[in-house]
Parts: sequence; structure tokens; C-alpha cells
Amino acid sequence: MELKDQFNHGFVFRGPDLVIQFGFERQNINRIFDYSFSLGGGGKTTLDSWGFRWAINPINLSYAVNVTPASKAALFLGPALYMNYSIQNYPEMHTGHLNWMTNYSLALQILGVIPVKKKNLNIQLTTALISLVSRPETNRDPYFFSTKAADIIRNINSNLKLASSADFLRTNLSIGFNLGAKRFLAYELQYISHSGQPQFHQLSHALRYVFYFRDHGGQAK
Amino acid sequence: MKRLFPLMCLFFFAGCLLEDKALLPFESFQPTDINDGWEVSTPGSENIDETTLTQIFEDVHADEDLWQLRSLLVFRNGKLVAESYLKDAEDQTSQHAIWSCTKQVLAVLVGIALEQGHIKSIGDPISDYLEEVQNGNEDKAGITLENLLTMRSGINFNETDDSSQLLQKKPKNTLQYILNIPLINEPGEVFQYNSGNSHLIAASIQNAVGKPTDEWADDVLFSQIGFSNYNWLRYDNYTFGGWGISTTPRELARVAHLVMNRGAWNGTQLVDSLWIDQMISPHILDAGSFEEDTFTGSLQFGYHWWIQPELEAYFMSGSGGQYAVIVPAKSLVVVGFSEHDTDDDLELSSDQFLGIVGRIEDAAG
Repeated sequence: MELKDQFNHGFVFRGPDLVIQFGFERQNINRIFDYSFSLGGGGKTTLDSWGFRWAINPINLSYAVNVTPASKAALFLGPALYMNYSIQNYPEMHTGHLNWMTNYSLALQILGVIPVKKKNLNIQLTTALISLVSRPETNRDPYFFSTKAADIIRNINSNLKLASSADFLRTNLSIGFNLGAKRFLAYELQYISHSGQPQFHQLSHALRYVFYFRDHGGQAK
Repeated sequence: MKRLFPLMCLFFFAGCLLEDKALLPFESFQPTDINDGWEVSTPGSENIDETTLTQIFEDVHADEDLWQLRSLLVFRNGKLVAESYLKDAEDQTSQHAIWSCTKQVLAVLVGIALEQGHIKSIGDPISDYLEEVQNGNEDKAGITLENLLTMRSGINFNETDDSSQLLQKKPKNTLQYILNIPLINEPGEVFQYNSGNSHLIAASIQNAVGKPTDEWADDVLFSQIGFSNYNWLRYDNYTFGGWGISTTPRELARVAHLVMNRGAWNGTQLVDSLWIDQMISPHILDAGSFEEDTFTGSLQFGYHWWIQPELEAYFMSGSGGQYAVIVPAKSLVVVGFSEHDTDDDLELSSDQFLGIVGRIEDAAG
């Protein structure tokens, strides 16, 4: 994962994240409903200094409808709703401060399910259309942010602004295969860009491994 | 799957965020006249080798190890001869936290408070000015203002942890918080730099003059030297002495020139010259040393002022890399502000800035 925050003087922090996600999915040949929440984070580094990122995503909700029911390959379309908190701390570059990128987004989801031999190839694209976003103030108090949990929660939800996809872009591309009835593996590319002040960019390449507690049928993740 | 693997690799390596250059490329250090009272000049007119100075500024702008630096100004003979803003031209007039450079400003104010009789002597115990000492902190009764000025109060204020508490405004009574910290040494014995000492000085001045120190400072000093584009924080109604001033490089240079001119400003003696001499004389002979590629030398401490013997300089220093260095023998003042939230290895260090000053000093005939 790469993070480029306007507060970080043009430097890019790079490092791995580990994210754990739990959820449930209801699907049939015509519809897919998916809810999940996830927690994760990891260390990032630049200039031999460390930063840390925590990702809390309480809501990832999507509903998609098969718009090609007669076709062997299925195309699902539908809305998605996201609630994402990405909190960063850079002890040496910004002592005493938290940075964050919060978004509440309504997104469009496009999912293609293509039978390939005995497996299904899933190609999914999700992009935020309209969002409420929160970032720290550009001219922020140069002194410490409070470390109280209540203050942190208030801060990461402060100064929420409405943003179209021109101002805030959150796009996920996922390409994956089912590995039997209970497992799924995908490569995911995610790009987040907040072009307003202060700017924020995040790029991640991820491997996503899903384990289904029930047989999934291999139609979709 | 086999056919998709190369495509996945392509995606993996194709996506990368590009870093920006931390510093703007060097174009010119020609100062601009912004009608703030500073006379602008050229290096040649003030007997500074312009070619060498140009090379210094080019090197600074190109040095990735100086990415924190936001401004670099050179004054000679009371005139601004070089000025560069390495990240944002607005830094010329935007207020910037100078952190512990506030301590050096405070020390100048002590001299004025003495001269005006608000403080009788720096040998006075702080109990004469802080009633909290008489009411529950009697262990601090032996601390004098001189002990505070030389960072030898003996109060075990941890510059990292206790400063964090104050920065988060956790104690409701900042003064009481500092006075409640135990003594670790007898007053006057051990040098331990900390912002708690400075705040006790500021509070003593405030109680002595009968108004917030920042207001009184404006009356007796700032308004007299044209120091107007600033802000000074208060913590529970006390002007904070350890940090708190935000200002511009050109404004801070006024205080530096006042000190370089032994307390005189435009022909008027605003601060007793004898106090200035005491303030910049080494009272702590061994306050540290530098043995770096950028600079090698020793560090001494006066009354809240840092002294660098090898450069024959004394200077103001603030967290993150805020500096105003005075080389009186060459009538030279060099001011530099840096990103102020940095810490530890990412901070622009004193040796880095003194290395730049050393090169400028050599260029000044």
C-alpha cells in the first residue's frame, strides 16, 4: 500500500496492510446482497521513518442485479454503500497528530461472472459516485490532537463535506477465481484520491482470500 | 488462470504513487521590499561574496537532507540581503510556530522586567512571584529566577512526556502541574533543559507586571521594534513561556537584531545592554556538542540563549528546526524556519543549520 498525504511534504509512505473482513452474502442467479465489515492496518515507511495506518470499515453494503439473466456469463449491476475510516499516525513526521481519510460513499458496482472451464472468473469494479468525506484541516493547530477515544471519533467525523467523484475517487478493481465451493482468491487494486485540500492519495495492491462457512456455489464472492 | 497471471503482474507494477520534490528549485534570493521596515540590499553591497552565497542557496535547495527547510534569510549590517522560501512563497508573511525560540524572546523580556523594577533581581526566589510556591510547593522555594534562566531549577520536567501533557492541555492548571513535579536535583546544580522552567519565568513576569506577559511584551518591546505579525498562546490565562509564539522569519529577525545591537533599536536603548551581555554569556559551559559531517563544535548556554563558540555565534532554537543565528563580529543574522511537527531523526538539526551558517559566515568578508 502507498499513502501520499499532502501533510507529508510530497513523500509517499509504503508498507503492507493486513485486513480481516467478516460478512455475509445472500445470492441467487439473479441477485447478490453482500454486507461486510473489516479491520486492519499496518506500518508504512519513508525516509527510514515509520507511520502507521488503521483501517476501520464498519459498513460495506452492496446489492446487485443480474442484468443478463439469459446469458451464460452474468453481468450484475447495483449500488454499494461504504463507511470507511483510514487513520494514520506518523510519529516522526508529525509528532502529536493524527491524519485521516474518512468517507461515507454511495457507489456503483459492476460485477462480471464469466465461466472459465470449471471455474468462474469474477471481475468486479466499484467506484464511488457521491461521498461525504472528512480530512484534517489544512491550517490545523500545530499542537497535539487529543488522544482520547471520544475526541478521535469526533475528529475523524469532523468537517464532513459533500464530494462528487470529481473530488473524491474511490475505485476498486477485483479479479478473482473461486477455489472450490468454499474459497475464493482475488487480486484487488484500489485507488483513493481526495483532490480537495488537503489532498490524499492511496494506492493498494492486495490479495484477497475469502473463506465461506457454507458452500458458496462459486457464482460470486 | 495462466493467461491472467501476466495481466495481474502488469497491474501490480503499473500502479505507483509518485513522490513530489520536497523543495522548490532555486531561482533567486533577491529580497522583496514588502514595506515592513526592513531595508533590502544585495550581498555585494554588504561585502558578502555573491557567487559563494548563490552556491550556498543552490546547494540548500537541492539538498534532500534539508527537505524540512521552509525559509532561509540572511541579514547583514541590519539589511536583508538574501531571502528564499523553499516550499511556499506565502511563508514570507504567514505565521509559523517557532516553538522554543519563544524562550529566547522571553529572556529578553526578563531584562526589561528587571530594568523596570518589576523583578528586583534574578537572584530572587520564585516564591516572591508565585504564590503557589508558598501554598503547597514549598520544596520549590529555593529556586531562583537565575536557576530557571540557566535551566538548573532541579525540577524533573520531562521535555517529551510533560510537554505532551501540556500540549494536549490535559492539566487544568499548567502552573500547578509544573510546580507539582518533584525535584530531582538541588536548584542550581544540574543543567536540564526543559520548558517547565521557562513557563515559571513567564508566570513570574506576568504576576510581577500585573498583566499577561504577551500583552506586556507588546507594550514594552514588540510595538517598539515593529514586531506585529505574531501570536502568543496562553495556557489557562498564563502566557506560555516554553513555546507559543507563531510569527514570520522577518519578524523574528527583529528580535535577533535587537540582541545583536545589545538591546538598541534605531538608536533607542530598549533593553539594558548589560543584561544582553549577561544573557548571551555562557553560564553553562558544556551544554552539548556536535560531531557531524555537517558541523562540528560545542554548545554552551546563557540565560536561555544558546551559544556556539566555534562560529562565535549565539542563537535561538525551536523544535523542528526554527533558528535565528547571530554572528555579531560579522554583523550577520541568519534565520531559517522548518516544518515544525517533525521529531527525532526527521527534525532539521542544529548541526545542519549551523553548517549552513558557517558557510555563509565564511562568505561574509
